[in-house]
Amino acid sequence: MRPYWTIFVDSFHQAFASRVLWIVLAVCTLVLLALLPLALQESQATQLSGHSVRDWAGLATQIEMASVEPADSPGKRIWQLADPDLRDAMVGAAVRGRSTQELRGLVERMAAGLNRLLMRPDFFAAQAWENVELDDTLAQTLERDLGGLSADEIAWVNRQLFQTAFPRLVARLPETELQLTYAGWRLGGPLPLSRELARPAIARLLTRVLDFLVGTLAVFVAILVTAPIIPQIFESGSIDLLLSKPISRCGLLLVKFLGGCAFILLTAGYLLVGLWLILGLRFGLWNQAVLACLPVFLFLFVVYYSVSTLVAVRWKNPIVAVVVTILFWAVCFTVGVSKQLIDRVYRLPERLVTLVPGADELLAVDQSGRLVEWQAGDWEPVLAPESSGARQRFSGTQMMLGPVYHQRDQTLLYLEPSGGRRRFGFLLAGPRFYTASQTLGSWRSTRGPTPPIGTAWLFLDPEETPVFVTTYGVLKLELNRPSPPAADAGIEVLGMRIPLPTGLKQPFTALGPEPALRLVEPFAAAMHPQSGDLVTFSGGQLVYLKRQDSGHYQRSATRDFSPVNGPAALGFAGSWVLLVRSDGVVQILKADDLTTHTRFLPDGQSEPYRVETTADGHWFAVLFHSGALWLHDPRSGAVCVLDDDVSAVAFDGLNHLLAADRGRRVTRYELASLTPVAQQTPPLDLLETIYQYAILPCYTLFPKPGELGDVVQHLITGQQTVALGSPVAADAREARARVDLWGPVFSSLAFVLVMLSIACVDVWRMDI
Amino acid sequence: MSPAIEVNQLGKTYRTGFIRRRSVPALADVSFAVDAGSIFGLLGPNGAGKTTLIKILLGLVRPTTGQATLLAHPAGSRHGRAQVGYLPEHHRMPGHLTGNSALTYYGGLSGLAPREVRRRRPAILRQVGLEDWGEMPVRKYSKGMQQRLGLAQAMLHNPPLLILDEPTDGVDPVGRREMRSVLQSLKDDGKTIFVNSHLLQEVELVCDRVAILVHGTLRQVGPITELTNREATEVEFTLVGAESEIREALSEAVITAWEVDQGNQIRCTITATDQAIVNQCVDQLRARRIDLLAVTPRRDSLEEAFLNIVNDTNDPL
Repeated sequence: MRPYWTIFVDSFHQAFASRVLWIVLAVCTLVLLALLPLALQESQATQLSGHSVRDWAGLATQIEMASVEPADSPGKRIWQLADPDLRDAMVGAAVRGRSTQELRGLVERMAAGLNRLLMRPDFFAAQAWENVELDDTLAQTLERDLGGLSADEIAWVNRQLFQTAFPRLVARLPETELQLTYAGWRLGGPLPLSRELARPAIARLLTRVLDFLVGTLAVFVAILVTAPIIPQIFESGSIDLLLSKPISRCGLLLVKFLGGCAFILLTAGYLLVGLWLILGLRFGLWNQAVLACLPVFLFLFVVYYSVSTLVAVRWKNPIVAVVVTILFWAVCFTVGVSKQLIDRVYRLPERLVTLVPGADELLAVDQSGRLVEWQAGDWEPVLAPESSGARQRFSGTQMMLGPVYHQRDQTLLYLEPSGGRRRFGFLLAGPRFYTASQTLGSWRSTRGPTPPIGTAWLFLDPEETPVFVTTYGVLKLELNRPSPPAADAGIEVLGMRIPLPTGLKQPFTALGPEPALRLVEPFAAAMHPQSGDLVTFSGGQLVYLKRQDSGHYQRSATRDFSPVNGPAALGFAGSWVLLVRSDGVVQILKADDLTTHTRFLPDGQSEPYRVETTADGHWFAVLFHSGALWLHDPRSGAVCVLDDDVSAVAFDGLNHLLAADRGRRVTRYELASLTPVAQQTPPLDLLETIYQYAILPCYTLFPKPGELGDVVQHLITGQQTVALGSPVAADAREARARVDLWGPVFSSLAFVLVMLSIACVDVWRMDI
Repeated sequence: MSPAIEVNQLGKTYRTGFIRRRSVPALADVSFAVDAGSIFGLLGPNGAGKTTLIKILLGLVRPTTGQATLLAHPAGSRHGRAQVGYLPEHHRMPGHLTGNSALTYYGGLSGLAPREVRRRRPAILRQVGLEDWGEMPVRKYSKGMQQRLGLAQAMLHNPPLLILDEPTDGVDPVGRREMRSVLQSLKDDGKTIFVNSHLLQEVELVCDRVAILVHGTLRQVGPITELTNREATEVEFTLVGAESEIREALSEAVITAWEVDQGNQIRCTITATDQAIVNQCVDQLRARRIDLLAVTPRRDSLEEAFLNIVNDTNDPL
């Protein structure tokens, strides 16, 4: 082994002797030095920003209305203290029909104006907050002399007062905020995140940075630099000398190949260790996964280098090796992008994501938000979403909240989120509510009253009354109550017509609880099918809302799961609450006191998609975004993993489980035995046939080095799926696609082995 | 004692061209043996197949026909190569190496531990005259220094057989003389040395036996003395005596040269078909009381012998 070890060690000597290595390391050092001054400063949250208020227009309207009321109120106090610019911004924001761009400018002015107010020691006036219920900590603070507080403490107290005064309009503000700084200079405004909450966002950003710096740039440079290594050994006078020694030709080639990897090992290792240290020292995030990415990037380079090696053995020319390797990269990129494009544009939009078993028919919602019905052996679209944002149109995904099937009216009720609604949670419009009914065999949807901003869940209570769960409480919709008057209804203030705030005078009835919920979007909710009780999970806190005889909800139990965060899914039936966390942990909780009964980890760290239950609470079905369907009977403790490619699941109330897999196939299982009893398989259309029998086999055979980036993402973020619509899919119900972590690794490994085998045979047969 | 190198009916035909394949014969039916402990020279004009033959011995090229052995191991086998020190023609060492690290590298390739290389290195560098240049990068070496370093790496692992392809190429006359003495000392140590060189004088000076390849075929193999002797014996006499008597005494042979020098000294050259005629001529001269000042058998230089063999060959493969 000594001769081979000698060659391998010499590769490092050669790399260190290379000027290019030192140039690349110098560039890496510059990049790291440029990143070094970046830091995250965590401080007590004192400032308002665009995302601090859910409905700026509503807030502006409410403050203006309060200003003309005779009674003192927080709104009136703010109006009194407001400078002309803030007043002007509030008046402007309250006018309906503003474009998003106009509103955004006004919001920035309002936030700045309010921040000026919040710095004032005289912001609090006892009579203004007389009718506002303050929590104990705040009340105790106010009883003390505010003059002894620092400016930041005053701002914090004022912000709490502001938040308490407008609980429905102001988002639940975090205690701390993060400020990104560069050499002490503030970059942008503070982020409403704790360090813990910022971790996933930083991890995602880091994935992108690594993908570009190491996965693309460093690998490209390494391809250029290492291309001459193999041709050099075939140079006359060099190969003779090497092969006169007692070494095998294949051994020489393979050790030289491994030695060529020394370059990327040194550069990528240097960069990754540097980034890891910066993350740890400057951001306080010691993420060992960054270092674990080194083998992945090394493997990525190995894939390209195997091509370069074979070409070098055949043609013994470094330029040809580089050109062919770059062509190979382009082909890989094209194949990967083509497959992804076909998936995103044609296949994923048609994937069934929600199954709605009706009285006699089977309805489903596909990924593009269309309602489809099983008719004559195929899925026929019966309703299309009314609108969708640009991103949804491109990605082919549209999230539909619901639908729920109203048996008595034989209608479907659903919510459509407004397109382009979110910018750091800055909401400009609420979801739209629709009722779909069947007339003469065709479905038609009717737009209903607009639910308030912050509405995220729609249920039917045991009396089949639509119940909406919003960020601050529960609302009931009386279906037969007339719609509100025209939108221009409002009041005159200072000669201007101020519209009524969103959500007022709508046919929605607030069902509590008191005090308001103050959930942070996105949150999970589930309704008990028999009692109508609700559970919500937000910011790591699980709340049990018990339904009173009056139909109102009251907090019955809460449990804090902090620091557990991220999108979660809830199920509630029988005497069990099932919480599926974003890290894939399934917790079975006793409903009465929310104590944990059992914990499972059925599918690794898969993100949950939804939980379905039978009405009697016998079965819980947990569907993960990875496609795994996990069934559990809490009473008997039975556990069953049904499939690994499921996209939708439902119980039909007749002891059957329906599961959609392979995109559009639905299988009906007998619950008692979990055996399939029926299957609805749509015929393959032309495109699907081409995809299944031509594109997919090619794609399977072809190496997928570009997709190794997903492995990096998985290592750093721990996620096994990628968001399809919004880049940060915060809601468990938002579309995600399973990432095939090992497929690209195995196919690339097979490719490397084939390339090297051919190269070895070539070298073995070669006359030097 | 078995020969160090044995070549038996070795042949090699290269195939060139991608679409229209063409056969290019390089060696045909070459057979010879190299005795252990001797210095053997391989001679031949350009394109004669000398390098191909060496490459076959080292396993760099696969023979089309025949076989060869190195120290009783099949040519090209790892065991055989482990016992060979090879200095290729126009060898190229990686530019990032220094003299010392090159020896560590090639010593490692030959299976020597770094510590062992460090132990042997000073003596080897001294032997090839590079003891002061070990720290210098190889890329700064002159051609002659590179040849010396190449020889050093070939000797480093103390192999019983050295194959040297143009070892004195680019080396100055002083260096050549030093290299000859190195080869001689290696021979004295019992090593077998196989030399391929264009410099016939060098070969003549150091080699015990030579083989001459022409157009891929072996034309001559044997000791140098055998190659440089002509078929007919030529002898030069330096005599003092009467011209007529001398001519009479040499009447059995053919006189090819006659020169009278400084009065009565006569230098003449005769050609005889065998040694018996020469002996008879000497007897006749002595019988006539003619003084024999010198009797010198005439022999070709290796260069003349080589040129004769090459010029006689008009049948390319």
